[in-house]
Amino acid sequence: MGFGARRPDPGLGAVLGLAIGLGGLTMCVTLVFHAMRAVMDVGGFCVDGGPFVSAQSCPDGTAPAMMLGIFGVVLFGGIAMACGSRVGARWAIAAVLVGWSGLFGALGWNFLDHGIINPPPEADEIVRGWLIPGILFELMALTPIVIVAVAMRAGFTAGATPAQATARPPGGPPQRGQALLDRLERLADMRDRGLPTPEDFETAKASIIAELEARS
Amino acid sequence: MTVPRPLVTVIMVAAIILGVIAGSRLFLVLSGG
Repeated sequence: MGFGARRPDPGLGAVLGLAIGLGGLTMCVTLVFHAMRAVMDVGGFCVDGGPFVSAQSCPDGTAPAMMLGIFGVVLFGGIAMACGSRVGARWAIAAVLVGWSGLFGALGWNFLDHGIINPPPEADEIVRGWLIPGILFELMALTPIVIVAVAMRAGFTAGATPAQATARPPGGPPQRGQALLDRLERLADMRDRGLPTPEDFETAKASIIAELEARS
Repeated sequence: MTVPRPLVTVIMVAAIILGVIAGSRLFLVLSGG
């Protein structure tokens, strides 16, 4: 009675897959974060290769870090979502949040940091060109978090209604309980008229009370 | 073999922290720093 069905514990394979997916996902988001930061440290753009002389060469390691990071987010995000759906729906949602909100939140922080907190030396004040994408990226990061939070709240509320409806259909158990109480009263009347023996009365009363307790 | 749910949360938090550390270390290696 009671507390709802407990979900079974997930299998070891699914948990390991989810751990690899989430760990790889955060590793790749971190790679992209550092690569973007390195490019922003040299002014926000860089070029390498081709027949022309580059005005600003890219910092070492940024190109492979970007490639590994971007493709890795897709790969590990897929692994995390696939295994997360086997562990539990909330873990698949967590994988989406880590991938999407983690990526946009981290990159948005780079924009805000270089636009407001640590602007380049040549900029005297706030760099609006980085402030605006910073705000937009943070909004993109926060939007799914807010949506999931609202959906979970609504889900809990909506989930309680059918559960309650299943546990206590309107008029069901109260009517049933009332019928048991009526039986108890009729039994007491019969005892007062001396129909059942005291032993029979006690047995029948105990049976009805036990039935009532089982329903409460 | 199954894993208790409270342990799943601990494992995932550890995996995320390790992922951040591994990403930082990997970038250091790639950038030659």
